[in-house]
Amino acid sequence: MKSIKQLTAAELCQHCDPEQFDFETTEELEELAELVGQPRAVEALQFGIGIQQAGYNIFALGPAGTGKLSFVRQLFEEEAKKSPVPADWCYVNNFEQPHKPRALHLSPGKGAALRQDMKQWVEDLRSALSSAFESQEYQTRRQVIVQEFKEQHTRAFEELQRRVKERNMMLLATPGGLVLAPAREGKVLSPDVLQKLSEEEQKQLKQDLQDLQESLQKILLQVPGWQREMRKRLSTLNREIAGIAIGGLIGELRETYADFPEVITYLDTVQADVIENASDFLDSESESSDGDASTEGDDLSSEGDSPSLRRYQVNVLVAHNAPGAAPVVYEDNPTYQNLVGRIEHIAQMGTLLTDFNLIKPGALHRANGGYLILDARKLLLQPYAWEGLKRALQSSQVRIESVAHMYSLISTVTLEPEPIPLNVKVALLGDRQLYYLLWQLDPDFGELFKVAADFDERLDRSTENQQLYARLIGTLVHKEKLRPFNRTAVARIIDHSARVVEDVGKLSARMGGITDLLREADYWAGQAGNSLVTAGDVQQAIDAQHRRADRVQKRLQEEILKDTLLIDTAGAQIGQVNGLAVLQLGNFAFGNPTRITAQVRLGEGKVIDIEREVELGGPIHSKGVLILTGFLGARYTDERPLSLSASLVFEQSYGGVEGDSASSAELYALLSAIARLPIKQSFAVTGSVNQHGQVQAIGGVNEKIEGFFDICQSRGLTGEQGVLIPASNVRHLMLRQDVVDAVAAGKFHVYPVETVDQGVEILTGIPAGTCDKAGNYPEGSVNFLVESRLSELAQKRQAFSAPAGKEGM
Amino acid sequence: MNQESPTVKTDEAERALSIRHILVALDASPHSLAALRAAVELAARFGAEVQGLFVEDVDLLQLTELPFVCEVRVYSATARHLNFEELERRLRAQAGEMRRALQAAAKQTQTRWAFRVVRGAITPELLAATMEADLVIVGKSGWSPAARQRLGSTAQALFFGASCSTLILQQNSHLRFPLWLVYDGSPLADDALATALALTPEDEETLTVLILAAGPATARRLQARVAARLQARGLAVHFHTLDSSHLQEVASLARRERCGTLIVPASETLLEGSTLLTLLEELETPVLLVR
Repeated sequence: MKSIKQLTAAELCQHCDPEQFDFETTEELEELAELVGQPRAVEALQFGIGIQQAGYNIFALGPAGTGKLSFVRQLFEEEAKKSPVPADWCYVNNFEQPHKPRALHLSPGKGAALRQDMKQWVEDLRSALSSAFESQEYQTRRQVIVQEFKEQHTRAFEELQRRVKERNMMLLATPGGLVLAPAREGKVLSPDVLQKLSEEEQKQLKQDLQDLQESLQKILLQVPGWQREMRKRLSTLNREIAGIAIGGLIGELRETYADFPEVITYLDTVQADVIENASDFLDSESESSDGDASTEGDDLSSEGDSPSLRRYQVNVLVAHNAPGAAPVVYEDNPTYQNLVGRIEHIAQMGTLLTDFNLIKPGALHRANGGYLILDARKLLLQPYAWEGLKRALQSSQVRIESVAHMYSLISTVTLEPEPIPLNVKVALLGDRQLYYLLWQLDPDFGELFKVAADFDERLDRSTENQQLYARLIGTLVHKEKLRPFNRTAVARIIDHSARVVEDVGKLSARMGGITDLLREADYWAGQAGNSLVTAGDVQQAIDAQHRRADRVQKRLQEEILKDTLLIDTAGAQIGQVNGLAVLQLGNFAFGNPTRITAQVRLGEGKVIDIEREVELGGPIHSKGVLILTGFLGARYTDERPLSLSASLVFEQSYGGVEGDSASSAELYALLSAIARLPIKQSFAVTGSVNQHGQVQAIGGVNEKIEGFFDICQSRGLTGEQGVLIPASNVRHLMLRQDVVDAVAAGKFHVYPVETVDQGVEILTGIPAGTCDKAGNYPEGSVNFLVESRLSELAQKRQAFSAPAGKEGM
Repeated sequence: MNQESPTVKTDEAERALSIRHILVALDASPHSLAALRAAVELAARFGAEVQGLFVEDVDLLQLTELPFVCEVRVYSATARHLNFEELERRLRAQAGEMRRALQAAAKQTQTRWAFRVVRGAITPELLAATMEADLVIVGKSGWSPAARQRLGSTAQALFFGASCSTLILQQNSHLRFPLWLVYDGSPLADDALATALALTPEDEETLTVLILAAGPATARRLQARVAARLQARGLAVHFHTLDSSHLQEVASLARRERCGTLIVPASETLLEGSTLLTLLEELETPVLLVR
C-alpha cells in the first residue's frame, strides 16, 4: 500500500491572488449590472418575462440574500422601459345602479385630465345652471306658471266670494276649515234673526248655503290637481332650461373624449342625470350661498362638495404619465386589501357609508399592464391574500370585494365595482422549501407559476467570475457608500466567500452576508482611521464576527483544557480515538473534538451503538454504525460467524448525535479494540466509511480541523499532532491562516485518507496489510491481528456452544 | 312714537326709540308667525316687552248656533256640522300653540313677554289693544284661502285705525334692510325719519329717501332738510323725488331696486284715498306706518 502524503500548506487554503486584479481600489471598477454566476436563474427569468401566455408567472426561489429581489426588479424595469404605458383606470358613478360603479379606461395621462375636466365641468355647470335659472327668461316663465296657478286659485275663490256676497253670505275661516254663513251688513246672522225668518226664506237660505258649499268643496278638491299640474309644468321647464344650459358644456367634453366611446356613454348618462336633477343643483347652490351648506351638506363630503355633486366626480384609480414605462410594483405588505384594493367607508350619524369615490386601488391595479413583485412568505402569511391573488390571476380581472362582507362579518352599505381586466406578470420570491410545498399542496400553483427561476447560493470560482465578483464587491461598496476596498481586501473577501460555501472552487452567491462583511470591514477601517479598506480590516471584521459568537466554543475548549472533558492530544490508547463534531449555533459553526471509545468481547456479532440505545443518536448515525458491522463481517469473517459483541460510544456527549461523519473514527476505535493495538491520541479523525472500507466526504471539514488545532495549540504543538480527513474533502479546505502556518512549519499535519487501511496505518503506525491471493494478511499487520482475534473469538464461541450441543443430542 | 312733535331736535332718535310695548296679533297663520318673529327681534333690540294677543272670534263661535251651517275642511273638502265645544277646543289649541311659539322665541332672546287670549270680535279687540302699545305688528292676511296675497281685513283695519305705529309683514319675511322712507315734509315724516335712523343698524350703510313733493322747489327744500338731519350719521343716502300724486310708483321702484322695508308716515294726505292701500297690496316688503 502506498503511504499517505500529508497535505502541504498550499493545499490547505487556496488564496485568491490579489495580483490577478489590475485595479488598486474598488473605486476604479465599473459597476456591475448583471447577476454573477446564475445562468440558470437568468435564463428562466428572461424566458418568464418574454413569454406572454397566461400562467407564465415567475417564482424566483433560492436562499435569502442571493439577490432575487434586486435582480428580478432590475430585469422587470429593463423590460418595462420597452413596454407600452398601460391605460389609466377610473371609477365613475353608475347612475342607474349606484352600488355598481363603472370602470373607464383611458389612454395614459387622460385619467387625471378627465377628473380635472369633470371638476371644471361641475364648476361651470353650477354657474351655468344658476345663471340659466336666474335668467330673466326662466324667472318670467316660472312666474307665469306660478302666477297662473295662483290666479286660477284666486279666480275660483273670487268667483265664489262674489256669489257668496250676492246671496248675502259670508265666507269665514275656522282653524282648519272654511265656513259659509248667512250674513247681513257684513255681520253673521244671529240665531235670533234667523229664527224670525219665514219658513220660505229659511228654506231658500238653506238651499243657497247648500249650493255655495258644494261649489266651495268643488274648488277645494281641484286645488291639489292644480298644484300637481303646476309642479309638472315647472319640472318640464326646469328640464328644458337645464338641457339648454349644459348642452354646450357637455359638447366640449364630448369632443375632447371622442376617441373613448365608454367616456361618451358616461357623459350621456351624466347629462341625463343633471337634467333630471337640476333642482338638486339649485338647492345646493342656494344652501351654499346661505352659508350653512357646510353643516347640512357634510355627508360624504371630503372637499365640502354636496353629495349631489360628488356623483359627478371621477375617481382616478390608476394614473400614468404618457411618456414613461410600464409599472414595476413591489408590494412590501401584501395584505388582501393592499393587493386587490379596498372600499373605504365614512362614518356618518353612526352608520358607515361609501360611494365610488372611496374605492382605493391595490397593488394589482397599480401593476396592471406591467410587473408585480411579491414576497411569497409574506403573501402566504396574510389571510386571504394568496387566494385573492390566485383568483385575480385565474380570472384575469381584479374584482374588489371586502373580506368582511364576503364572510358576513359586517353588514353595511357596500359597492360592487365593475371588475377591471388584469394583465400583469407576477414574480413571487421565496425559499425553495416554500416553492416545493406550494407545488405539493396547491393544485393551482403549477398552473399559475409555470416559470421557476432557481437561484443558486454558490457560483463557480473561475478566473472570470473572480473578476466579476470583484466588480460586484465594488458595486456593493459604492451602493452602500463605503470606503473603497483595495485589491488585497477584495481578495480576502473572495477567500472568505469560498470558505463560506466550503469549496475552493466556488464562491458564495448570498450577497447579503458578503455585504454585511463589507460594512463591518468599513467600520473597522474607520476605527483605525484608514481611508481605504485593507485585507487587515476584512480579517478584523471576520475575527470580530467570530469573537462575538464564540462563547460556547470557548467554554467547551476551556473544559477540555481543564480535563473536565477528556481529550488526549498525546500518547496512545487501545479502542479510543478523537472524533470531530461540528456544532451549529445560529449562523455560527465550530468544530469540537469528542472522544470515541470501543469495547469488544465474545458475543453474537453485534455492534451496539450506545447512542442509539439511549435514543441520543439519529438514524443516519445508526446507519453509519450498521455499515461498520457489514464491513467487519465482509472483510474478516466471511466464512465464519462474527463472534464478537462490541459497544461504541461518544464519551461525555449529553446531547443528540447525528450524521455519519464519525463512522471512520468509530471503525478505527473498533479495529484498535479488536486487534488490541493502541491508537495515537495526537490525531483526530473525521470521515464516513462505506462497507468496502472507503472513506467518504463529510461537511464542516474546516471547522473540524480548526477545532482540534485550537486544542492542540493551547496545549502546545508537539509536531506530532494532526487530523485525518477524507481525501475527497481536500477541495473544501479553506483553513485559517494560523493553521496553514503551523502546517508549513511542520508543527501540525493534515492527512487526506481514501481508505480505512490508510487511516489505520497512520493512527497505529503499523502497516494495515493487504491480503494475498490465498486471502491471508501479512503477519503483524493490523488486518492480520484483527482477523486473528476474530477467528479466535469464533473458535471460543464454537467451544462454548459445542459441549452444550452434545449434551443435548 | 305717537307723539306729535313739530320741532325735531337732536334727541329725536331717543324719542323714536321709546318702543316699550309691542303688540303682536296672533292667529296661527303663517303671516302671523312672521309677525311674531319680527316682534321678538325688535323687542330684543329695543328692550321692549312683547304682548301676544289671540282673539277667539265670537262670530265664528256664534256660527255654531246656526242650524244648517257646515264647515268645509280645506284639505279633504269634506263638510260637517260645526259644533261649539269642538270649535272652542280648536281655538284654544291654536292659542296654546301660539303661546308656546311666543315663549320659545322670547326665551331665545331673553325678551319679556305676555300672552293674552280674549274672546270677541277680532278687529275691535285688536284696535282696543293698540291703545296701550307703541307698535303693533300684524300679518298681511289671515287664514282665508280666498285672499292669500291680499291685505286681510284685520290688517287693513289696523293699518288705518290703530292708535300706534303699525308694521305689516307677510309670511317668510322679516324686517329687512336697506330701509326706504317716504318723506313728505309733514311732522310725522320727521318722526318716521327718526324711526328709520333708530332702526338702521350700525353696519348698514344706506338709506333711501323718497321725497314726496308737489313741485321741484319743494322737493329740493325737503331733500336739503333730510340731508341736514342725516349728516351726522354718515349714511349713504339715495334720494328719489316723486310727485305727491304718484305714490303708486313706489311699487315698481321697489321691485327694480333693492328695498328692505318701507317706512311711511301716517300723515292724513297719505292715508286719504286708496293709493296707499293698493301700494300695500302690491308690495311684498314689510311696511311700517309711523304714527
